[in-house]
Amino acid sequence: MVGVDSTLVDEFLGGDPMAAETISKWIGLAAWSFRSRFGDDWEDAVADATLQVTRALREGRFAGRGTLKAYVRRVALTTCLDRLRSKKRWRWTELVEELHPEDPKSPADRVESEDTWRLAAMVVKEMSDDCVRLWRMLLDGLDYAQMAERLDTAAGTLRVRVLRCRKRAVEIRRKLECNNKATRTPE
Amino acid sequence: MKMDCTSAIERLPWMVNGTLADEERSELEAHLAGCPICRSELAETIEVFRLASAHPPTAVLVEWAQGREDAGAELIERHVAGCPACAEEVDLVREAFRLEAFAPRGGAPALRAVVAWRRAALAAAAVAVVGLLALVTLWMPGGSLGSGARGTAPLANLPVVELLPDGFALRGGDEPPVIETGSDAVALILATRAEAVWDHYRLRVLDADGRELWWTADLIRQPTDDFTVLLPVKMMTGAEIRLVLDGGGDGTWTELETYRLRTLP
Repeated sequence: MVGVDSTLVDEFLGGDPMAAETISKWIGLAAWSFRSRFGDDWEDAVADATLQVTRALREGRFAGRGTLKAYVRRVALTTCLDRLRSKKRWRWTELVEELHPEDPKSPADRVESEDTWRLAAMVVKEMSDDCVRLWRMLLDGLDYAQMAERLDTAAGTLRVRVLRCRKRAVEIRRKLECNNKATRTPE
Repeated sequence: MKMDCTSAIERLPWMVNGTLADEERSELEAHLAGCPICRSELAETIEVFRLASAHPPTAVLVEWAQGREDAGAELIERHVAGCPACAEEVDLVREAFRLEAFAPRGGAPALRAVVAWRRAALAAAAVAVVGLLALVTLWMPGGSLGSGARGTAPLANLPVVELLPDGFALRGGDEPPVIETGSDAVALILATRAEAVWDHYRLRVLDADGRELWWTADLIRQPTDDFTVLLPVKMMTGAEIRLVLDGGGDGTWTELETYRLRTLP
């Protein structure tokens, strides 16, 4: 960690008003572009970001690989984006809760780790364009009659196509997981 | 008639996205209650929904928006290209970087500088529009637009509203902002996604029936890619108004963005 940044972190955590002002301004600037999205909640978002930055610095998570300013900005932006995402819940959350009462998180929440997301993205990448298009329509909340009309196909044919895509996606995921395990297994 | 496994499995995706008709859903639920194989198919369907709807973690998105290259860059790029919500998030992050680049070096007065810059832009626009209002008032019979004290209107108390263009996929809903028509004018900051640069910009204000209520030309695109304009809201009637931002060059105008506002007396 560069000396100036290290001193600033110490001063900030020690309650120095100048250091607090500097870091607050960095946070405020990072969060500034979100003010129209949050409206009256913007100040809460900034307070949340300040809390996250303070927590991260207190726990020593700033390793000093970049500048402190860049780190503070990253934490503040991530906090704002998380807050923005939390405003929208997937519509099938209730169904998932019914099926997995022990896991109250929504599917969106459960895709948290980078590895999990990469796996999901790889599966989508491997899927055909047609399948991706069909799943986007499903995610957009279209019923099968609407989808069949848009694709100019019979509802029964459409349902079979979606089923094939689903099976293909599961197959791809299994193959990728298997490859990942094989790569990680020490010889 | 009882639903068989083939029909049940084929309908699962629409059960998950919540669009099955009540009757069909009831039949499917009854089938699922007694069929462990179809319940496992349901779990698999939800898993595929989860995969298809997965967004990059926010920390990864911030890194990528910052231009950090890593092994997953192509995956993120592909995802963002097909995901309006993530594209919007990337725009927000990039706007934060632009603001930072715009702020003076040294950082201390950074946020204040942005606010000061916006105030200066608003003040300049205010002077122009207040002048325009004065002219309109003089020209209109009876001159009943304002309270008669417009010349001393305290610009510092001017309501400021930032508008996002229509079509922005907002995660928190897309209700248009509400403004009160009690004051003479409202300062608008119009965000835009249009990247092309035009010779001229103008703003037209239309009512719900598409009638033009007001327009102003020679808007100046600010370094932060938005426009600042003072809207004489007292002239606005109707519950909802539409603002159209046009870009012009070679004698023609092209519609760039539209915005919505709701007005309250």
